[in-house]
Formats: sequence, C-alpha cells, structure tokens
Amino acid sequence: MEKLYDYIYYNSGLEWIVNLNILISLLFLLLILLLILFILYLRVYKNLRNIKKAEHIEKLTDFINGYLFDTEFEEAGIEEFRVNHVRSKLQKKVTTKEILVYSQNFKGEANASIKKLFFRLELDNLAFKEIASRKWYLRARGMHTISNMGIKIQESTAVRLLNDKKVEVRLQSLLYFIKLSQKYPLNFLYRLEEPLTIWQQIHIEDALKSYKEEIPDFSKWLNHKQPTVIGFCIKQISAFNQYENVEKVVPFLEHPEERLKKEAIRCMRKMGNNDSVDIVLTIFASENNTIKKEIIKLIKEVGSYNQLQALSYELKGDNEEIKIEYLKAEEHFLK
Amino acid sequence: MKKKILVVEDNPMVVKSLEFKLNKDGYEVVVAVDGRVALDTLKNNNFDLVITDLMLPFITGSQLIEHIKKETPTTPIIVLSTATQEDIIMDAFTMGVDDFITKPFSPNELSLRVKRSLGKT
Repeated sequence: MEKLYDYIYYNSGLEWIVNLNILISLLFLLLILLLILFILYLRVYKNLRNIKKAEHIEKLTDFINGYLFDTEFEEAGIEEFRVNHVRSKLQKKVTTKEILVYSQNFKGEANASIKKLFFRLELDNLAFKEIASRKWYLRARGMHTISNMGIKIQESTAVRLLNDKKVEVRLQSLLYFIKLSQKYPLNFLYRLEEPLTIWQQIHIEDALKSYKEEIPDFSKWLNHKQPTVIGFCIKQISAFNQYENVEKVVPFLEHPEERLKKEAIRCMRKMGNNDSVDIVLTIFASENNTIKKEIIKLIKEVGSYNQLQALSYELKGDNEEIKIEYLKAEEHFLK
Repeated sequence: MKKKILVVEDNPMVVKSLEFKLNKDGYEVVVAVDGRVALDTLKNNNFDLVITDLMLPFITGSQLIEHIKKETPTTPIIVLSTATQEDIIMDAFTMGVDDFITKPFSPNELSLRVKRSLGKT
C-alpha cells in the first residue's frame, strides 16, 4: 500500500489526487465534529429547557393551589405572578397546559376558578395567536385550549378550522363545536366539507355519551355530501334507537356505495326491522361477499327460516365463508 | 393530634392539590405515587384514612384495598378514580371502601367527605 502511495505521489504526477483526498477527509472530519457539537448543543438546550420547565411547574403548582385553596390568598398575587412568571413563550405554554390539566380534573367551584385564572393570566391571547398560526400543531393546540376553556371564537374562524387541511386541527375544531354549542352540538356537520375519519367519529360518540341535552335527530344529515357523515348518522340512528328514522335509512339498502349499504343493513339488524329483509333478498345475488355476510346476519336475527332458504339457490358459486355464515344462520333457526 | 391521611395517586397535579388542600384542612398527608410505595408506607405507619386511585402502577388500587382491609379493616378508604362504570363502583363498595369519588372531582366536596369518613372512626 505504501509503495503504491509513493508511486502515485512521486512518479505519476497524480499527487493532486492525494491532496484532494486529504482535503475531503479533513472536511469530512470537520463535518462530523460540527454534527457532534450540534447534537450536544441540542441536548444541553433540551436539558436546560426541561430544568426551566420543572422550576416553572413547581412555582405554578404552588401558586395555583394557593389561589384555589388558601383563604388568605391575595388577589394582587395574580397580577404579580403574571408579570413575573408568565412572560416567556415557554412559561405561557407550560402554564396553559397545567391549567388545562387542573380544569380537566376539577369540577364545581374549583373548575370555575381555574378558568377565571386562565383569563386573568391573559393566556387566551396565546391561544388566539396559536389558532392563527401557519403551523398545524399550533392551530390544533390553540383549538384544544379554546374549546376546553369555553372561549367563543368567530364563527367564520371556527368553520375555516373545521375544514382545515390537517385532520388533527379538524378534530379539535369539531370538539370545539360539540363542547360549546348548547342545543345543537352536531350542527357543525352542515358545514363539514372534509370526510369524517373513524377517529373523529369515536370522539363524537364519546362526547355524545356525556351530552345532557336531547340527542340530535341524525336523519338531518342523511343527504350530506360526505358519505362518511351519512355512514356515521346511520350508525347513530341505531345506537340511539331512533325508530322514527328507520324509513329514511331503508333507501340506503340499495345504495351503490358499499359502506353505506353495509351500515344500513347493520342498522336494520340492530333495530329489528323485518321489512328490510325482502329488499335485501332481491339484491343478494349481485352483492360482494361482505354485503352477503351482512345480509345473512340480518336474516338470522330479524328474518325467518323461509327467507333464509330463499338464499340457498343463490349460494352455489359462493365461497366457503358465505356458506359457513349461511349454515350458522340455518343452525340458529333449526335449534 | 393531627389525623394522618395516606394519598395514593400517580397524577402529580392531583397529588399536589390534595396535599395542599388536606394540609390546609389540618391533616397530616403522606403521599405514595404507586401501589408498591403505598404498601411499604403502610407497613411502617398507621393511617386514619386512605385515599386511593384504582389505576395505579405496579399494584392496582383493588389489590391495595384488599391488603388494607385484611391488615387494618377499620381504616376508612375513599376511592378517587376516573372510573364511572357501575360494576367498578359496586366492586369497590363490595370490597369495603367507605366512599367513591369520580374524577373530575370537587376539592370542597372531597374535603367534606374526608371529614365525614374520619368522623366515623
């Protein structure tokens, strides 16, 4: 190797290659060094930030507990704390987060007091800035804060965020509508232009569980332009036993969109609608396996043995899964 | 002499608030952040009341309640939990807890219930 090096360096006139190699190696080493320094800087920065955060939380917890439970707490202390300890962005962010935790854990007088404190510390300004931010995670965080603190914002802003391009922002915005509307928690659906994700549907269902007013009539959105909204509403019609809306779901049994058809069949099954069986019997042969399985389940639960037998001629070319489903239904009737 | 209360809770915010509030009410408060620490604390101390969450790291609240009821059956227990399901609440009462408070909770209400539970002993 050494000989080859000497040969190149002294005899071939190619010494520039060696020099170039040395230069590249040095640059590479420098780059690694810079990268290591950058990583170290990030770690130190993060650690210092965490220390500052912990110190602030310590002070903040004492302050909030004093404010909530100390009868000798002086009102002037709030302004003093705001001026001295809620100045930087980090302090505002941490304070908002902690206040949200308190408000989620407390109810009654303590909850009302903690919400009052949020405004006295002028943290609503940060939330307003966040919802106007170009960064999606700030918009989502801002909406989360605003809805949990019960702040009403301009309708146009809320609708814009409801149809935001980021799903996380849309989720927080629809929760805002549910939490803040007194009588019509789902009226935001009229203004929803984006699809309703499964995750969002779970959140709405969860919010409706604790909703104390009258549950909305879900048939109002059965002609929505988003199929996901229609599917959700069909599901809720059966979940909340809205029997008066069954007739409006029937047309979906023959809907060209598979998921709506499936949801409609499930709805009929849960609501024990026997009239729907005659309709699904006519479409059985032309359906795919998923729908066929749903149809057999529907007949098993709300139909008759004769209706099930009407399918036996249609099963010839079908796969094993459908035949097994059919046999299960048959066994149910012959028991 | 101050009455001694053991608070078993893993949420730092709830712990700090309970500690503050109960201290203000004139009680001596000892905190355990999980079930294991709670068992160790119970070995070496006597408490007039235990306030515990049900979902705890290492040892569940139910296991802890069972242990307390076996070792010191007269110690009143208040459960402070997010669980709202009827069966969970019923199970807790069957195990012998004196009170069940669901989160979110009112600190003033908790304070009164603590007072009532301690009044019984």
